Amino acid sequence: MLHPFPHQRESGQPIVELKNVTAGYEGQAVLSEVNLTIMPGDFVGFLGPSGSGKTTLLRTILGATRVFSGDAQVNGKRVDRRRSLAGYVPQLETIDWNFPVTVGEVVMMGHTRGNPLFPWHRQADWRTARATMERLGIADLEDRHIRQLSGGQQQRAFLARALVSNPSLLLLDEPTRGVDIKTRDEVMHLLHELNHQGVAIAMTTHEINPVAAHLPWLVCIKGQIVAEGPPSQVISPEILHLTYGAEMPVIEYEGMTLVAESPHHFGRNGNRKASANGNGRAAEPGTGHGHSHHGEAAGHGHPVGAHGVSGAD
Amino acid sequence: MLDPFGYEFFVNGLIAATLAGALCGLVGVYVVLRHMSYIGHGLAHSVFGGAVISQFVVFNVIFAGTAVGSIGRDGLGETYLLVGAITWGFLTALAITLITRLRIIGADAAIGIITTASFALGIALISYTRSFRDFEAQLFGNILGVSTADLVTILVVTVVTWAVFLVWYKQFLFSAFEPEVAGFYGVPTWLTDTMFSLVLAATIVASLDVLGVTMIAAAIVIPPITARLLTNRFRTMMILSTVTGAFCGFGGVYASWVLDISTGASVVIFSSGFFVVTLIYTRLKGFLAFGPGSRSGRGRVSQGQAAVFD
Ligand SMILES: Nc1ncnc2c1ncn2[C@@H]1O[C@H](COP(=O)(O)OP(=O)(O)OP(=O)(O)O)[C@@H](O)[C@H]1O
Ligand SMILES: [Mg+2]
Repeated sequence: MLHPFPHQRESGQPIVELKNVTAGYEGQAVLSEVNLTIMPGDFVGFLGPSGSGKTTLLRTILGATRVFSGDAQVNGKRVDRRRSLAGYVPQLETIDWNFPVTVGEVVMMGHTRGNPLFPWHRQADWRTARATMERLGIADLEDRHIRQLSGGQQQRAFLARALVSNPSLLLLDEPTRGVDIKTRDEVMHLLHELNHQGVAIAMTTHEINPVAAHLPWLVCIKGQIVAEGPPSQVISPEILHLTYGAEMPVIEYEGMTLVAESPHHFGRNGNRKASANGNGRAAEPGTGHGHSHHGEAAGHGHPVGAHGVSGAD
Repeated sequence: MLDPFGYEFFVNGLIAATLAGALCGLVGVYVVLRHMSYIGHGLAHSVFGGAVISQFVVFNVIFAGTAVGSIGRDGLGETYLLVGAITWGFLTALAITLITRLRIIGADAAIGIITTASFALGIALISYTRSFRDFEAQLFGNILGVSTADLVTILVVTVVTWAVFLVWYKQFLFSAFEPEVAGFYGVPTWLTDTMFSLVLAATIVASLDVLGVTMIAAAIVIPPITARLLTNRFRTMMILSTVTGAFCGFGGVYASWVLDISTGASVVIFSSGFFVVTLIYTRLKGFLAFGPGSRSGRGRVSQGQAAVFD
């Protein structure tokens, strides 16, 4: 079922190249000194606690943040919001589900860039939209309102919008959030397929285990890049502690690297000695968010179940 | 009862109200979907302030001591007033949008401060000089005063607004739906905001004499939410909202003649009634389709289950 496959980085011109980039918003740098390269055919996952700058990193690649210093390039050109050609799938929580649009209308938004001065779309645009919907299995939902879809179908609709213009780079903000395990697996497999067809993909996530199992390359973020590499190297108690500020036991199980994401649980029941640095419960350093992002599999200490239930928040 | 259609001023008023209703209905779709319902209310107050201020400038500064001050409503001064009011409304609308986008303060607070301040300025000027023409019509709406020039203004604004919404349809749709993501997909959001502010200010100025400051917000909000109850499609909502606005403008003014009540109030009461009837109709339809107590069906009643706006 789960198949980490060997990661072969292609050579040639990188799609994304960030060199010593310090970026953020008006008067506030969120990311500092970031170096990152995404090559054609890459499939990268961004991990990090709430407020660590995952979304900001995606926005920087799109050219929608302020770059205070360093050089941010996409396809060899400096990032620019008005010229960004990457496909972007926003976090679905930000969508206004009461808005009167159908799946077809959402997908056609992906063609806004073409002939901007004509209110109607070209025949060719309709054809690519239909083809993309077919490919993602949502063709029969074209006239449905976005509210009348399942979580997985919603994700596909917005994925289709990002894909109609045939981008070479796809950026997704937490595509696996708030859906059940089966849907999450479907989404991951879909992304794998796209990746195999040559689309470079970068996605953010809060769920360590699924990306550790599916993705060839992970980047841990906390205001800067803490670590980067294949899951087997990145998923270690030391790096996770540096990233999340919490103790997370790592378990090898049938060739998979799994994280038992329940430090609070261990601490409270006294099943484990208090950690050496007394830091076992420290979490959410410097975030303004009240909710816990350790929501996944909270309370399930069992290693196999550990990558199970998601979205406790 | 007298046949009202025999009177030219009534026919003028009826046409003006129908056009203004349609205009507010069209523009209101974007206002409501961007969750800026309050903006119509605020801008109407602001534009009122702008009208008073430009009148003050026109008569007391530009034409101080000349004969222009005594020219009637259709004179040169009127054009200055129109331009002044639209400019003022546009600048306020733009300021509100910018402040909101830059997240300095929330939209509601921005609207509250900017527009009430400008309204208060207008009132202060009126009370200071006590020499202006009757502003009651602009506060509460009055069709008896609709001149041919007013009609032409409304017609021009209506045509221009339709043209803008047609040409810029995709961009308006996207930036209403996801203002930020639209930018990533090549929508010039700043330009879109600016065009919308201009169209909105012109709409309010054109409708001010017919509907009145205090009633304009309802004319902008009620038609779109009524239309929203009936459709799940942006395009259809724009058309339905325009038609609803026109219908309510016509029906409201006619009712104001029959019942002998204020025009603005009549239009608002008429459209509120229409909204309630539509709401009951869509609920009943959902109810009949799935039977009493059918909870599982509720989510799927596409039409009756439409949006709740805040
Ligand atoms: N538009 C904005 N303007 C100013 N500051 C912002 C903006 N968006 C985010 N921030 C700040 O930037 C920091 C990083 O936010 P970001 O959204 O990148 O975090 P994240 O890793 O995506 O978090 P989450 O997991 O909760 O989505 C936060 O401190 C946040 O307050
Ligand atoms: Mg985020």
